[in-house]
Amino acid sequence: MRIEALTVVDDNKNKILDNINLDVQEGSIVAIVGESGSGKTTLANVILGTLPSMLKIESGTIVYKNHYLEDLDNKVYEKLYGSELTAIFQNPSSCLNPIIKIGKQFVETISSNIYVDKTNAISIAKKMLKKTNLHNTEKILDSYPFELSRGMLQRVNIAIMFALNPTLVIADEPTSSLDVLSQKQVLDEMLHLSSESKNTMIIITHSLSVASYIADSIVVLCKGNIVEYGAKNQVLNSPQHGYTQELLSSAMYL
Amino acid sequence: MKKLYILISISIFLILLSIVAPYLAPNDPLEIDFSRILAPPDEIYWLGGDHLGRYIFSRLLHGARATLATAFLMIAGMSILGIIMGAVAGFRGGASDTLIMRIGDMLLAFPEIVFVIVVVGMLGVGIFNTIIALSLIWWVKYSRITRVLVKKELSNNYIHAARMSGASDTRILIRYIMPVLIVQVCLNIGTIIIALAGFSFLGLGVQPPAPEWGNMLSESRIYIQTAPHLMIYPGLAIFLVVVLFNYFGETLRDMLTAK
Ligand SMILES: Nc1ncnc2c1ncn2[C@@H]1O[C@H](COP(=O)(O)OP(=O)(O)OP(=O)(O)O)[C@@H](O)[C@H]1O
Ligand SMILES: [Mg+2]
Repeated sequence: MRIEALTVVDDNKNKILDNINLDVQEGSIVAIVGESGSGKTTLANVILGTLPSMLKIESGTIVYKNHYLEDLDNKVYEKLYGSELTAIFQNPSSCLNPIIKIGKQFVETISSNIYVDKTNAISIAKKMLKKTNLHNTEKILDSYPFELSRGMLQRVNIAIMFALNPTLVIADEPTSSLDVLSQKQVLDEMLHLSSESKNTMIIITHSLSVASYIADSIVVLCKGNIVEYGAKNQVLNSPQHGYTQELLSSAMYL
Repeated sequence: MKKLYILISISIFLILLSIVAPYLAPNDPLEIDFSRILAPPDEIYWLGGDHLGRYIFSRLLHGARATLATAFLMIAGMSILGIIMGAVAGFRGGASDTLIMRIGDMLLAFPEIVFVIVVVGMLGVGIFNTIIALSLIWWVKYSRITRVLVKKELSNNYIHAARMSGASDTRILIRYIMPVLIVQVCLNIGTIIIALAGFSFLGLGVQPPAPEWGNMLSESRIYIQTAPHLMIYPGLAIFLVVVLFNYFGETLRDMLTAK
């Protein structure tokens, strides 16, 4: 996936993203870090085709496989979602329908993407749950979302999304609403699953420690500009830009 | 759950009954027998005779088909039109939304009886033209419900997540919105039957001499004091069917909205 000279503006022509160039290598994990309001979520929305109507793409393009942004309309996106492109969000409990059991939602999602019958879908669901270290699969599939902890729910979400074997996963603050222990578990499962299925992952986070734990390379975003992009060690050990140094030093205090 | 099955069975039974009714009816519903004009019910002629000496029991059985068929036709017409329009407005938003909703407002501004009389005046008197005329205004109600439900669901985070995992608009519509609409439809059948009976009463529905509960009521209204059974039986039949479908709709709603 490649982003070229992307500029996004709001109603008042303020630049929310300014001339973004980003080349994401297939199979790699890229972390996008930056302070609140730096445009991380906006960047994710551009890639996912879910930009709020108040924001407009002023110029630039996204090349995704052989699709260009220009010909990515809703129809094309609808086909991409699930099998090619998928997302994991910050609040795991809001991502599942509260009144339908997890098993049913899991099976429905699988069978709307992959043509399998119900028993096969259930066995896929169980296999995926085991991969995310949730071993009491029967019980989890028979639960409503409110019966599980947030950390477990996020792992369920991850299991659902990875069951579809997507080529590109966008995760917007996937661990920000979790306690420290669940954070590590969730990150571990994401690492494990993505290395197994070799998909590309873009993780958005405001935490440098999350980024350094999971990513191969790090993008630092500041007020809509990419101020630094490079391999993890390079960015962490010898930051070129003042803003990154600031981020790094403030991370020390935590 | 058990209650629902019982109600479904009763409804299906009723529908089947209305289909086979003509074969069950003991007499020809159109046959005029002057000796039985306004005759009170007895053992042979269960529900008595009407103002032309026709057998009310046979007319009720035959009328069930016309009454239910027109009501179902009506509800199918208006709900399909309404759901499609509402879904387009809700999912597409923007200009199509505004256009559909404003057309709806315009249609609702007409008094429905005037609208029906105008359309029937242009197309000719007959139950189908009345159904067409009513569908043309009443779809608005369904389109509004559908649109609001679509908008509400789309703002839910889990719908957003479902879309990101490949759920199409159609699946969202069927999974999350249809259940609510089905309840609406059931609750509406009663209203429709009453409304169509009303239009038959005004002479805009099924045309006499064909039996239909609404026009049976209408034809017998002048005998309300001398021979009340002419009105009581069709009235009772309408009442029971309306109660049945309303109860059905409410049970369904309770079941779907409970967790
Ligand atoms: N729907 C919107 N309409 C108008 N402006 C928006 C909208 N969404 C975001 N913005 C603006 O875009 C800028 C970047 O917001 P964005 O949500 O991308 O930041 P972020 O990096 O994800 O922040 P956070 O870490 O708090 O999630 C902000 O200044 C915000 O005001
Ligand atoms: Mg954000």
